[in-house]
Formats: sequence, C-alpha cells, structure tokens
Amino acid sequence: MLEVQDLTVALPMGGRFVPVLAGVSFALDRRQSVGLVGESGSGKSMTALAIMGLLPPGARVTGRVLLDGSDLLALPERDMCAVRGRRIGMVFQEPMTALNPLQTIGAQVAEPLRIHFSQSRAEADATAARLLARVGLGAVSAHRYPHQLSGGQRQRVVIAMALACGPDLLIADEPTTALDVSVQAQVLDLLSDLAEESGMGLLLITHDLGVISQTVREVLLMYAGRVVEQGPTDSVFSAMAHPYTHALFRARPPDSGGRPVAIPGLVPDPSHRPPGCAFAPRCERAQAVCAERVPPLAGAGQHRCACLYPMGAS
Amino acid sequence: MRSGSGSLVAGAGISVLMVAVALLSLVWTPYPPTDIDILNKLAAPSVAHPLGTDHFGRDVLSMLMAGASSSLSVALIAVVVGAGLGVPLGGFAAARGGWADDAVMRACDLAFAFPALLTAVMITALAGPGAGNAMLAIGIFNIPVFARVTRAAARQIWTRDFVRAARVAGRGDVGISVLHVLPNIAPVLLVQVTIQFALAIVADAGLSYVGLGTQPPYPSWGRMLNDAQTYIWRAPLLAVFPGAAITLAVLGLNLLGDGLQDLLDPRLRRRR
Repeated sequence: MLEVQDLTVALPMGGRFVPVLAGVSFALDRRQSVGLVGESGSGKSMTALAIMGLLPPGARVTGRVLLDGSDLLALPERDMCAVRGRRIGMVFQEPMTALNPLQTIGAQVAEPLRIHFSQSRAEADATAARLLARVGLGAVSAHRYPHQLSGGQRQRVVIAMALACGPDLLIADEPTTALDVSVQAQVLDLLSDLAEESGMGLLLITHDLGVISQTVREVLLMYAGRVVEQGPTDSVFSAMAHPYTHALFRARPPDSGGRPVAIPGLVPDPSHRPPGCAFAPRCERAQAVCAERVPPLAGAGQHRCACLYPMGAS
Repeated sequence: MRSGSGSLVAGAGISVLMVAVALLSLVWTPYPPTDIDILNKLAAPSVAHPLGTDHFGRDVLSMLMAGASSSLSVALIAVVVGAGLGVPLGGFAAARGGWADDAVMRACDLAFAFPALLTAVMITALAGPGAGNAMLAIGIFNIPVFARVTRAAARQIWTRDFVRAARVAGRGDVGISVLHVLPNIAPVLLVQVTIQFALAIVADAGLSYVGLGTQPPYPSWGRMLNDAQTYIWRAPLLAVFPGAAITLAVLGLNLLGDGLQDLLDPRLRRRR
C-alpha cells in the first residue's frame, strides 16, 4: 500500500541546501506495522512530514512516496488535502497542544468527517460519538473541552480524530512520549488493536526501543538522516548488526537492573555531517575507512545493515 | 477582585451609556439639535437648557447627543473598514509566510511612515470634507494596525500543534485560518478594536475641528469645540462640555479595553 522509495530531503538553511534525509526506503501494507527508531534529529519525524507533504516551504525532495501506486510527492497541494485525514491519519507527540482549546472534543473528532465526507453536523456528531467510544472514551461527554481531560484521554481524542475517516495508513509520531508510563502501554495497545481491526497500516515513530519491540513487525533504525539497520523486529532484536543499534539498546535502562550505557557525543549537526559513516565519530568499532565512505545498506535477506564492520562479524 | 474587573465594569458602563445616548439621539433629543434660537444665545445652564445654549442659541445637550451618534458612527465604520480589511490581510500574511508576509508587512511599514492624522486631513481635503470621507480616511489608517496585530497573534497560533492536526485532517489554509486561528486570536482583536475605536473618536474630533468631518448644520463634537473657542472668555462651559464628552468616550473605551485584556489573558486571570 505505502511504498517509500529512496526518499531524500534537503532543507534550505543559510543559503544552501542541507540534507536531512538520504535514501530512505521501506514498504508498508495494510494490517502491517513499521517502526522508525532514532534519536532526535535522526530524520524520523522528517520522514513522516515528507509522506504527509508537510515539509517546510522550500524543501527539496526526491524519491517517491507511493500510496496504492500514486506518487504523493507529485500531487498538488489541493489533492494532498484530500489525502490528509482521509487516506492517511496522523497522531502527534503532544496531546496537550494537539487539540484546539476552544472547541469541544466532539467537534474536533467530527472535523475530518465534515471536511472529507461533507457530513452534516448531526451525522458527524453521531459518528464522532461512536469513534470516541471506540477509543475507550465512551463515558466521556463529547461536549467536554480539552482542558477537562487528562493527557491519556486527550491522546485518545487525537487518535479518534486520526481514525475518523477510516484511513489506510496511520502515522503515529512519538504517540506515547508525553504520557505517563502507566498509560503508555494502554495507548500503544489501542493503536495496534485499531490498526488490526480496521486493516490500517501503522507507521510508528519513536525513540523507545521497548515500544518498538512490542508493537511493530518491521523496524528501521535511523541515524543522521539515513537508515542504518532495517529488518523484521525479531531478527533485528535477536541479532543487532549495526553498532548504533547496539549502543542504542545498551542506552536503555536494562530490564535486569544495572546502569544504562550512554552513547558518547551527539548526533552530528545536519550541516556538518562527516563525509563517511555519520556514526563513525561515536562508534567504538570505527576504523579509518569508516570516515571516508558511506557504507551502503546491505545484507542477505530482509535484515540489512549499513556498516562496514557489523556486530557479530569478526 | 483585581482592579482589572473594576475598570471592565466602569469601561463597559461608560461605553454602554455612550451608545445608548447616541441611539436615543436618533429618535429623541430635548430640542432639535439644529434649531436656532438667536434670542437665547450663549445662555447659561438652566432647567430649560441643562447645559446651556451656544452662539446660535442651539441646545448644547441636544447637540452633544447628536454629536455622539455622529462620532460613534464615524468611529464604528472606520474600525469596521480597518478590521474588515486588516484582519484578512494579516491572517493571509501569517498563513502564507515567505514573500506574501514580507509584502504585507512592508506595506504596513510604509503606511505607518505617514503621520496618520495629517494624511487623513489630506485625503478628506482632496476627496471633499464630510462624514463619509472621514470614515474612510480614518479607516484606511486602521488597516495596517489590524493587519499587524492579526499577523503577530496568528503566527503564534500557526505554530501550535492543533493547527498541524487540522492540516493533517485535511483542512486548507483558509479553513484553518477561519476555524482555528481566528477564534483563538479573537480576544486580542477585541481589545484592539476598543483601542482603535477610541483613537477613531479622537481622529474624528480632530477632523471635524478643522472642518473636514461631519458638515454643518449637523453637530459634531470637534466643531463644537472649534466654535466654542471664539467664545472661550464669554462662555467657557461651551468648550468644557464637548471636551468632556470626547474625554469620557475615550476613557470609557480604554478602560473597557484594559478590563477585557485582563479578563481574557489567562495568565493575569490565574493570579486573581
């Protein structure tokens, strides 16, 4: 259904184009889920914005984003408005600010229906009430305002909005980051249940490897605008090939206790990326050649890795 | 209770009074405001003429009431013109950004570079004096004010996530501007309306003072002041009443604006 092919994005900064995304490719079918993982600035949100056609003005985009065969990058803004909300729904990180403080939650859930299906207010309100019930807010009045709800409840409203028109694809950009740990799991379960039930594809963006391992079938690890490791979640987690994946995994608080291991250094500034592998300056296994050329994404089968000296190889 | 709500009540009270007087003058004044009674000229306040009469023997109270309706209607139209064109322009600039934003804002800078009242005098002098041209002249100078305030407030709203959510839901620029941005900047605009209304009353008084506003015989506060100047030693009260009316109207609107600002600004409200 969704096919992203060699997506490359450069943004104008200080008079020149700075690449923020290079050669990202993946495919996602209905009832499937793909996770994008990376630190801040790795390009995961940029990928979502590129799919939605919401990149900042002046961005230079190449590659293709095919939704059931038609290239979204080639669509004029008018037609793209008909795709957003109708074919692709999106959930944001901050449920506190993703809702208009002056409108009732019912009106906001009804908004996409009124835009895309030209439903009357009464029809849209009835559908909105059903949607709110479906995301587990059946007991909450649709006449409430966002400030009367908790963070988890608001995120459910945002999800109901994204689902309103029965989209083919749901993009969730860090949907649980701003929530309490206790409700994170609920929201994730809700997302994957809904995707399963309604046959949507789910693109989950997160920096939390734990979230990914529980929710998605395929995972892409991104670093400095490139995919460094890509493959079925089980395979990636059982045999991490890229040193970055390994470092990211060790940077989480271990289940067995003990201390997380920080990755030294910072993600390089997009305008000053090293010429070779962008992770080389922070990598324990880096050799001289790593700073000279960008390793291609390679490997046998579905599990691929962009590293000259992958983990597990001697 | 903070002083904010006090000024809100006082400002709203004075403003409502002004509007009521202006409306009343359309159907009733103690005397017809243009009726000349030359034998009774420059009379001191009495029971028959509570505020006295002017140099033609016209009833000052009736003239003040009629002047309120002319002043308020000039100010109202001026603000409607200013907001009606300025708000969409500012909203457009904020929604589009880039060159559209630059173009609108530079045009506003250009308009601000002209001294407003002087240019209003020029416009009415060229187009001919009268209430209609005064409305337009004052209104034109309200456009950049509203454009700037709208753009500044709207740009803040455009960065909020719920605007992004509306875009993601498939709304276009116009829909987002009208349905999501405008309601969220309405408080700011409302306060600006009261400020511009007060300024427009002063501008109208200024124009009619120099003879470019509402034309005789219909009374206006500005021309009453001008006429009173000649008799300032014989009948000082003639200047006091229209001056007090202008001051009261402006004071009321400013208090109302202050009160609204405090009421609508949640940061100030929470401190109460």
